[in-house]
Amino acid sequence: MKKPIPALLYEQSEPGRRAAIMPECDVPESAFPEDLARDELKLPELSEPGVVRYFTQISQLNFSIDTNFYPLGSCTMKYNPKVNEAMAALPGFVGHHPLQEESLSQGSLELMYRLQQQLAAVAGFHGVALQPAAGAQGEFTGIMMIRAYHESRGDTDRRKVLIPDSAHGTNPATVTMAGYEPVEIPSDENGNVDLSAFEQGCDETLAALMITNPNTLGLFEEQIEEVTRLVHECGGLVYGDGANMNALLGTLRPGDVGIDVMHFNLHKTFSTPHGGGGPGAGPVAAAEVLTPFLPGPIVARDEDGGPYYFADPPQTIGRLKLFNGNFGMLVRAFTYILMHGDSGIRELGENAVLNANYLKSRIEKLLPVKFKRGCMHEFVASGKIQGADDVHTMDIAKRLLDYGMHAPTVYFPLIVKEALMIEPTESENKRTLDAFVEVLETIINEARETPELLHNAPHEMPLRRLDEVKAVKDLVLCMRG
Amino acid sequence: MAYVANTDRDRRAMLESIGVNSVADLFKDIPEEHRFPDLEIPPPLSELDVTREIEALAERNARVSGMSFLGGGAWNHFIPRAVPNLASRAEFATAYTPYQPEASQGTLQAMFEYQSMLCELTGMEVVNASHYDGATSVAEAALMAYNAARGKRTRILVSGGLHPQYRRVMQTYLQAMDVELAALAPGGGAGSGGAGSGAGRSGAAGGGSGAAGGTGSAGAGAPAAAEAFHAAGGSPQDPVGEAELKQLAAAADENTACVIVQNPDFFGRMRNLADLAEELHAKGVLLVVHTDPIYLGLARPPGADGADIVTGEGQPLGIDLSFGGPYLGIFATTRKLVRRMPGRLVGQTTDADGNRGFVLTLNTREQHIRREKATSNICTNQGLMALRAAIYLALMGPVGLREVASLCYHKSHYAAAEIDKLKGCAVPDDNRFFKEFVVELPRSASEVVSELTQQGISPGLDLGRYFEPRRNQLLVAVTEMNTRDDIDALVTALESVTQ
Repeated sequence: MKKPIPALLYEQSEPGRRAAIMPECDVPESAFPEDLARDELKLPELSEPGVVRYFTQISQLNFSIDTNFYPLGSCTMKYNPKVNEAMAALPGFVGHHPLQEESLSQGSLELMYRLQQQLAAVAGFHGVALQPAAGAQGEFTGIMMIRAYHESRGDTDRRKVLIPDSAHGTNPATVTMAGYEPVEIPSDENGNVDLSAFEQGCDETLAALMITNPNTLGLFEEQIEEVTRLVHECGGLVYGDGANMNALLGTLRPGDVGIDVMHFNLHKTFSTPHGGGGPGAGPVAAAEVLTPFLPGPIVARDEDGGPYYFADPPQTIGRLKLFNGNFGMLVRAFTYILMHGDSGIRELGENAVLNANYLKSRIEKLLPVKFKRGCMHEFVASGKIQGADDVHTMDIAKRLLDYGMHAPTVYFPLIVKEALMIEPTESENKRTLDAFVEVLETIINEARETPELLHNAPHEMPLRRLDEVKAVKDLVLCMRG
Repeated sequence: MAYVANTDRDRRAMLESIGVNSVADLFKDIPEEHRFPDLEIPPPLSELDVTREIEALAERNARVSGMSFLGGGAWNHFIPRAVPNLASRAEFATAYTPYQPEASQGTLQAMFEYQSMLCELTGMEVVNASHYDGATSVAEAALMAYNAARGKRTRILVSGGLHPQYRRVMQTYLQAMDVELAALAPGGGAGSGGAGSGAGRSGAAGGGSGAAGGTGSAGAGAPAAAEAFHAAGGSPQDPVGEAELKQLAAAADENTACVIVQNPDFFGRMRNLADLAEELHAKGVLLVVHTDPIYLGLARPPGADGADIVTGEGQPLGIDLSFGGPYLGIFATTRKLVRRMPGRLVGQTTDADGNRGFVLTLNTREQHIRREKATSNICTNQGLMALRAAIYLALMGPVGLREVASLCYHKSHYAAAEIDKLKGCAVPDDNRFFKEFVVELPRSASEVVSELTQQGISPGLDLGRYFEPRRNQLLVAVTEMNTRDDIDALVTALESVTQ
């Protein structure tokens, strides 16, 4: 039976129903100014059991890591350990006000200080700032730091940022926000940056290269040292997009191959929950040359020990958000790194890559996989099924849902037609991966024999395929009470 | 490790399928001299060891709970147990962005509920599925206003009552744009602060401002004077700030994209914005209002006053203080401006059988489609925090939210009246404040804070941390969490260090 979808809160509302009830007022009352007062407030009225059942029921309409295989490429949907949640919920952390005196906040400050050190060690950098709230903000931070660096040297003619055509959309959007011009560079037949096109872009107007390594094809940029050397030789700096850092855990420190600044996605690599789209956390790590420009404040401690304190880097680009970053996410990532330690971290990276290569070795027998090289943590197949020309990647994705498997990332990267981007992560075992392959085999047979089964998918979900065009046309964005 | 699922036997079978001899062979594309580095972090620990170590860290934070009167952008509010209980359900917490709507109706329907209740609360037509926090919402609002004017209006006029750290975030966001962050100068003209100048103890925000500075406008003071005035948070002798609204309306000109007003402002002052929007609209200027969602339990929403963009810090809606995050950036606007709005939006639609469902919509504004022409680079929202806000508002309902707001109002006014009785201490005399108010002390606020901290009371925020001329002022926040006994203890303690 399909799971029922409960009516919306406003539809369930009955006047006079209450859930939370507040204490009596224990002080004399004061009159609220009439010229500022509100006439009516039409929030829904429900009982607590009603609210609990409602949100529990709708939660069950979701696929999630704890309930389903979720091989969403470039999103690193790995297991989110329960101990992380418990540590982030410790009363000493959740109840602590961000403006509390530093002398009263030493536990939080020590945790942040040690996380800064852990992240610098894992990625091979000199300094780390934890403040950025998400990967996109981390990217913006990195490019603004590069900008501030050039300006500090009076080098103001650099306007251009090179971005490979396989990059995430946030890269060019970030460059625009930073007042620079994005210039796209093509990939070569091996999925690397096309070196001859790239060299043409390396001139005195180059501010930076933004590079994702492994790239969104899941391929390690084989010429990475050559590429970073060329950028540095013409006076530019290299931004490393850390979205795919899971592949490099314990296997390569990006700081060792000429990356000058990169962001981490703690919600990908370091197991903080994705939360249905946030909150994330996007700390930024910098080589020595860019460390003075990190956003402030960062946590510092004098060399002779003593208390931890907040300090602004000397040439800081400023503040990215209020207070100290998404601290709750920082606690989770710290817990994860502390628990894994040096050898455990490497085990994560190794098994993420092993799982992806294994899945690739099986799926390339079923679907086209353009690049024959070994992949890193993910790979990109194409949803073109021989003998089923009118079946598209979207149809395969929707049919996967019927079998209880979340779809891979679809139609990205843009440079592969009908892309299916698959990232299993190290959390899955061989048995799950084999089950996924079997489901794909079944779906491919269905595509050839009964393609309408795919065109009309999903069939088993709470809803059939949703009309996204109608959503734009009608534009219903809220319900009023 | 506990979180890696393959056995050695699995690994052997997998390597065979791949056609390599060892796991190390999978990494041969990585330059050999850098492959498998020594990470220089300690060895693994068990869950029990890790728990002990982190619990010890959490214990090193001092606990002040009910005896804290700290606000200044984050407040101690009651969180019904059902909020964390429901929001921590793994089906919500471990799901990704709802790119496959048929497998994500839980997240999508919850976001639609959030948007619906926040539309009602703010009085606006459209609310997005959230930003990182209140500060980034304000910064994105400034960008949106600038973009809505298609680059033809380059001035963002900011009220002196805006949180000083919000201003710093805006400086960071806008420093690469051809935008001028302007503040009122003494006497009411507008002077440029430039996007590179900062206030507060953390020192100057980024060198290398790319903003055009100092263009000034009719009646503008010198930029330096405006900056000094702004650094003081407006005039310390200006308790109401109603006058500032008229000055802002007068200073807004054909080059101004928007005016940004916080209400209640950083100092807790409530202002009547009824006339401001009309005056600004006559000049083609947008009004951005940053507000506190708890305040809206009692107060006329900014949408009713004609605001074009409403932002807010959503932390009071069931979200832990958690040393500064994760919080919730509320962002609302009008139907007219929706296509200029950054961030994710959930819309209603139907499925192939005609049943109601929800999807992410108007994606063509966003980076994954528009790339360098997107309205913002924002990708994630604060989904789980918006979910918490939705659960909180559903539990509170209209009566509960009014009760919370009333308790904050009555208790803060009671505290102010009692403190006002202390010799040498003064509070705003017009009584138009919500939840927070400024206390003028007879001595340094930083000393008072550290002495009361010794007694286990956090009396509020030393305003000297942000504004040098306000070094004798304390920003006191009182919420439903503070009992009359707590307030009386605060008053007694203040008396002991000021008399």
